[in-house]
Amino acid sequence: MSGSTIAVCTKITVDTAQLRADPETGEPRWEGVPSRISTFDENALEAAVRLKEQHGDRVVALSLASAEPPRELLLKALAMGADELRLVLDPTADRADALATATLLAAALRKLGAWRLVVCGDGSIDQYSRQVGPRVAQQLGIASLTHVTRIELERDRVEVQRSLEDRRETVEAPLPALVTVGQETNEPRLPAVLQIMGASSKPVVTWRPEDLGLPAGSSAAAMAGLLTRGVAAPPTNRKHRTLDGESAAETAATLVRELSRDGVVGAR
Amino acid sequence: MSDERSGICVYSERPDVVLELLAPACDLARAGRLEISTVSIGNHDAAEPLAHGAGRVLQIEGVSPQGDAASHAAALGRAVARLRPSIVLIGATIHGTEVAARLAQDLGVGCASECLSIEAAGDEVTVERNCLGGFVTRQSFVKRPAIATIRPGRHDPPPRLARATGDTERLRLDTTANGTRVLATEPRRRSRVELDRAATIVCVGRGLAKRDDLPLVEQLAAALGGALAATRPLTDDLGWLPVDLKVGLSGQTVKPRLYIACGVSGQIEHVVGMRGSGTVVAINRDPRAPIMEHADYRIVGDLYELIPALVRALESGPS
Repeated sequence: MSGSTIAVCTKITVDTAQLRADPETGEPRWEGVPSRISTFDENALEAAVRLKEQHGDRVVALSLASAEPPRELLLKALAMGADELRLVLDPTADRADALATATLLAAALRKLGAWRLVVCGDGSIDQYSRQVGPRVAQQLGIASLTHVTRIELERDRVEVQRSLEDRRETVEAPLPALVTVGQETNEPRLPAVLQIMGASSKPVVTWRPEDLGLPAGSSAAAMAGLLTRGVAAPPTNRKHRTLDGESAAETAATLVRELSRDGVVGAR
Repeated sequence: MSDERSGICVYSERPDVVLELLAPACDLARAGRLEISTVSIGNHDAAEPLAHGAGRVLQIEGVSPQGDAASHAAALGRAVARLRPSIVLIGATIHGTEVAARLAQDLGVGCASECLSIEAAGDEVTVERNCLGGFVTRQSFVKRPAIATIRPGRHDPPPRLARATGDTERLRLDTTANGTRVLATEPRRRSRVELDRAATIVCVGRGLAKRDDLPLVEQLAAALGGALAATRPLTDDLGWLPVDLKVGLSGQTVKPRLYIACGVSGQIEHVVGMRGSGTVVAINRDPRAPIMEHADYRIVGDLYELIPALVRALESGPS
């Protein structure tokens, strides 16, 4: 499967930083919450585009979605430098777990054919399960290198630096291979107006699960191994007392007094 | 039960994490009268898991303990084929997370990562985990085995048994390498602070203007006898502090009696790591910063004035 294409898996998700809980029910309020390309997947796009600038590869972005995502998000991936976008549309994609997502993405990558590297984010901002990259690699029978901070691509091998809990590792793997990256890896570019305008002429190809050579009925919902049963924000039960003294010294003294009374500073 | 799977299988590449995972494993085992097996790749001390409640230790030979996640997932897959567990618990290190993902894909099953709780009732295995950046979601497995990962440090190992009764088995495998090769390793800078056990934490965020100002917050932590922590931008983007001092979704989850957030905006990804704290104090210039929602005491102002004042007030004691 070696070739001069780099594939990037990107998830379009709710912008979790904009989510607020309903104070009555504790459930998230979905209305008006914008979507975005998952943070680490922007790092993945950036990493792929930098490799393209070095080596001249074509960058193909893949995404699984339940419906056509907002146009500005599709354009953003293309404006950042992807050459084309393959969208796997599955109406049940919102019920996908990492198993279903990875199975659909791996099938899409097989159909795509000639790529030499797949770049994914370390995890998504909505689930952060950190499974999809290694699962795709397992499904395709290729090496995976996770938590990568630097990528050097050669003709038949990739050499990366990985950032692990207690050490940094320099690792090599034969191509084709899959790498996952995070916010430590790079700073995703903000596309210029010219690139945003140019993006609208780049191809967006839509596939359905049945186009991917999977058995009939292979929807995300049918394949998922983990079902979501309910969502609730834990209640916040805080005093919300504002301390506002005449001076910093007075405010500080009041705080120390309150904290002593609460038994969290001073004598135990 | 609809299939003949039974028992719990525990794996981590870290022997200390195996002992920790025996705590939730023992809870599950008691509820369902299941046997616990631990799987080790390499020559871990089998006596320890047996002393802490494992009924069996399966030692895999012929696979390099330094091997990559793919080779360890393949080996664990062979152990799972032999043990036929209904639940597999794996330590959520970076390596363990990748092993779990590959094993689950190979078996065609779901995997719940970084579970906060896991319960088995009848034919159902239900977990709770943080998602949507902090809104808790309950999830259920539809197929067996149910694979779940749990963060290191979340549990204490169960107490030692007076008399261990389990046994040790060996499984010899020949694995083929997939060509991944480690060329060099370099240790990372680490603090020696155990944040998850600290009674008081002073956390610093982007409100701190420069690295040279860190002693300011360090003085406050010292005056309180507490530990210093930081938000993601300071550890990951700016590299001002070691990454193991990071509190939040991609860092530590802490539960001190007192948590003082200095110049922390309070993105949900941070809050998820600290909202179990006892008393929370937020010092921030912005009265509308999200951290204020999670604070018992809100102080709106300049941390460069307030922290020194607070250090002085602590040194003179409550008036």
